[in-house]
Amino acid sequence: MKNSARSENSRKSLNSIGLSSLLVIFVVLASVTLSVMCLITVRQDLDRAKKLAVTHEEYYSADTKATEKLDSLYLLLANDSVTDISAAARELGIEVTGGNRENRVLTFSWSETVNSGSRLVCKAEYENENLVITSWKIISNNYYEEENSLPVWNGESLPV
Amino acid sequence: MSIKRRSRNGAFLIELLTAIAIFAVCAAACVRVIGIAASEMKYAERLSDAQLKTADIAECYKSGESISELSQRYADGDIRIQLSERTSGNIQYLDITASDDENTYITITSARRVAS
Repeated sequence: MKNSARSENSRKSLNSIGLSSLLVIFVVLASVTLSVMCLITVRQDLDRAKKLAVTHEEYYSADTKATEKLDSLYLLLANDSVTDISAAARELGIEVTGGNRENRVLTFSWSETVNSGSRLVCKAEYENENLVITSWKIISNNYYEEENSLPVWNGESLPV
Repeated sequence: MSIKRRSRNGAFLIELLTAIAIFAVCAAACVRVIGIAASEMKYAERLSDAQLKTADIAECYKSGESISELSQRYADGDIRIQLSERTSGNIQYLDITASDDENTYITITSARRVAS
């Protein structure tokens, strides 16, 4: 008699209205949250990969232009009829520091824009009829802007 | 007593069926979202892979490796690497394209100067 009453109670609690709805709400909320978070993470990864791919393409485009400029510099230095190398190099868009070809070290530098935030800066030194590339690197155009719009408090008491 | 119990069971059944229907709809939506995420994840992975491979090939080409060596390097893999070389003056150019059956991921050009 007692056993049958207990089984009746347990069946009632199992069949109670609202339990299945609560379970479904919990499961649906959990699965929707997880799947949306999964999609957001993947989208972020994809955006990052796309940005990197674009930067990668821009870098190699700038690198090709810089190599072409290096080739024109080699041709310029190989041409013995050119006496004023500095002027000729400047015409090609290459900056020159140093003296003449005969007795001093010439330093050539040129840059190619990679994108709005960076550029490829190349440097080469010419000494003893030998051109050596000394630098070939990306430099960021962004610079740190110091916040100095407010005067620094120097310990004086504030006016009342 | 019996009528009350039957109506209670009927209400439970209706609630259960409604809950199952809602769960089925939501589960289908979640599966769809996860499917989209999986395909985008695959694309992102392949894009990153393509970047690494093309950068490696471009740098090796600049350092003097031949096109036959480079084409063998990533011959086996999900991503197909296509190389085409051309020469203009003293400069050799290598066009590198990474693709698979569905997408073209990246195309870059590497250049190197050859001594005249």
